[in-house]
Amino acid sequence: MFLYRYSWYLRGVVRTLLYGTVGLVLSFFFWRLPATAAEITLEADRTAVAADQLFQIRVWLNTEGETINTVAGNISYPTDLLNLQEIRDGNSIITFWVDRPAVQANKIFTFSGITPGGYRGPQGEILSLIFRAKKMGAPVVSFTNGTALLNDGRGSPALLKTTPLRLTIAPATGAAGAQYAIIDTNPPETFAPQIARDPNIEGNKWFVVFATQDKGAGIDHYEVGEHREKPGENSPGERAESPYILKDQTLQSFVVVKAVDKLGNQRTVILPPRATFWQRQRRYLIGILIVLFIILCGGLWSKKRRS
Amino acid sequence: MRRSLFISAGFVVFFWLASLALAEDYTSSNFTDHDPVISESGGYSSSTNFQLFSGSGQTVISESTGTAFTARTGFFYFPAVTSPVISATAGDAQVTLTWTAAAGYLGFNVSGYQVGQGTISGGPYSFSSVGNVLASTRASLTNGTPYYFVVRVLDYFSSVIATSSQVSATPVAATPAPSPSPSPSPGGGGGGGPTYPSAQTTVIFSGRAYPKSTVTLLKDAQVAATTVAGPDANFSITLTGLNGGNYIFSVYSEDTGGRRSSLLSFPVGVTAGATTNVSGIFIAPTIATDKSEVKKGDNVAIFGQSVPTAEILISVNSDNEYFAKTKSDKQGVYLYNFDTSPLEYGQHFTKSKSAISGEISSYGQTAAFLVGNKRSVAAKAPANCPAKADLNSDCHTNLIDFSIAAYWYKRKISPAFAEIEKAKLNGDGKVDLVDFSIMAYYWTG
Repeated sequence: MFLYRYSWYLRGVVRTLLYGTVGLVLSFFFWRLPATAAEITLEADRTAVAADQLFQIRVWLNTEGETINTVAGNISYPTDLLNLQEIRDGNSIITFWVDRPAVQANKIFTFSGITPGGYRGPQGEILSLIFRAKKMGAPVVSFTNGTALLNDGRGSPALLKTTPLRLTIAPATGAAGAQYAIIDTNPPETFAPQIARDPNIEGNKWFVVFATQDKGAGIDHYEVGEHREKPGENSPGERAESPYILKDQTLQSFVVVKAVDKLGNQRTVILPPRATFWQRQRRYLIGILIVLFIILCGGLWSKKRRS
Repeated sequence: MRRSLFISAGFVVFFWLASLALAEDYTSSNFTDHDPVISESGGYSSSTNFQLFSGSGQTVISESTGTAFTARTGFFYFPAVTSPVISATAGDAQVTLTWTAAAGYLGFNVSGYQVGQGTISGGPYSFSSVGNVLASTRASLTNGTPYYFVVRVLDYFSSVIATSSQVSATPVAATPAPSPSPSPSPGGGGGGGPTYPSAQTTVIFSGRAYPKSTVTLLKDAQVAATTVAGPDANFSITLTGLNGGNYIFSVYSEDTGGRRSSLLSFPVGVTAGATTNVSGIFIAPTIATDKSEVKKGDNVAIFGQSVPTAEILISVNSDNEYFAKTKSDKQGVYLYNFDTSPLEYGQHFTKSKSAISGEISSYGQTAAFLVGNKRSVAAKAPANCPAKADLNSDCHTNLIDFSIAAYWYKRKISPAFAEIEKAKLNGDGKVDLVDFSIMAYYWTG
């Protein structure tokens, strides 16, 4: 009778102890977690767009008080609703790309890169994406598999949060919509390619390294050419990526490195031959010496014959 | 059910709050204050080398000084905030200001900023709160008049906890741009807009390093200029020939002992055709120790260089964090003999920051020492090379090292490179993003 009368009370006590224990366990596990985490934000210039129109999504990094020097992740989007037209990185806080983002037919692309010294701030642009809406629908653009590493000399991971971007595509209106053409007549930034070699790259072969930025349209590609005679700024080269293994391992050639932005503006740097004048002219000198030797021998021989 | 949920939520809140209120150990170089308790009635504590009279309760953490004493109330730690690096770009009847985020340590949380504006160098300034943002455009200014700006950092209670150095700009009337240039995005500090009749795009950097030290400026991680600081440690660098857009600039310096500072990076939005002044660059102190291994109880000398007559805050990281303050001399050199008695056996790291005239640097590089029970071992003279990530051993961490790492990225590394990866990267037998992050930290350009 007693137990029956107070069973509701005992159940309440047991329940309270149970939930309290759960609360204790949860608080034990979570009380040390930092309150803030770095955030990757996808921000569209319009959340509603008509089919066949262009729109822009910016990928921002908010470091939330941390200093972050490495960011990586995937951007995924539905290819049946969206067509990725262009990826712009001219104003990116990422200085060197480890995995350079590129427009592909896939519904996902990957990027990773570093900012030497780190970035700390609420709105650092990582990428700017130009999409064309294909047809009516509700596409979701997501940042997934994200990584952000702290500028602490150990590459410690930072907490990272993100929220998918939900958009609405209305039926086509026939209107042209916003345009995102860039007017850029400036060449890429000045840069200083370096020739080096290392036992750990291609058997200690000489290579040239290069990188620069273009604050307008962004870098499209690099070209490298090797010329025995002093080349002009428009001398031909082949598309190349850094590090580029030099064909002329004797370093007797001028090396021309050209950075070309997406609108065709170029910045050319010409590196003089590393070999000295005498090293470069060695074969001519040897030829001259051989000729002189032959002449001398011929002269001596004719003199001997005359005598 | 609902009551039970409330009770369990109460447990969670209670333990959260309890965790915040738990007493911790506070330390100085010669004592440890275990589990301090705030006492209303006062009390008395002592050891062989100190006496601690508690007051009628602890209300604030502060410092009082006289000609013959320094009294520090509160537990012995030193909350601090780094001063922002501030940029000013003149426009038509306006100046665009951007600044770097101030970092608060040990209790200071940055919750907003104030912009001070005046027409006389050094002030007075009229201040206005701009919120927790890193940019502000000051409009309705008079073209041709020089304006001077500072940025104040505010804490949660809107108290001023740091002030930037002064930056100036003179608004000028806009003229049609000779050639169009893209407007930079706001990320990294703003910029953009029309062009102005400056002959070229110029950025002028000014700040503090070490007396007569070489200062290297990196533009997007590649060396753009070097200069030598004056005897007062101040330096100025002018960079021209830039395009409009967002740049990441970085600076570092080397002290008279060949020790290299940490890399100080800051984003700057540059407007094509305009001059941007970047002020308040404060390079953190260098640091070294006289011993690589010290017998517990012996002193370890922590030293380095900063600006002359600056206040140097030294932190020694272990299970507990220990703090000490000292002053640099006229050459900017500082030295502090740290008593290792309270330290645990094992590896410890020390770092330092500098403060002068209200400006505070960030923490610099760390120096390591081992506390053991054997005789102390003198530290080797510092090699003028990055401690890590210098893969080709040329005493620089730059694009060549990045290219070497990139070559092995996602490849099976060779046995020879595995040795380098072990010594100079994170030693996990592969090249991945963590290795690139280490490289970004030790970058020299």
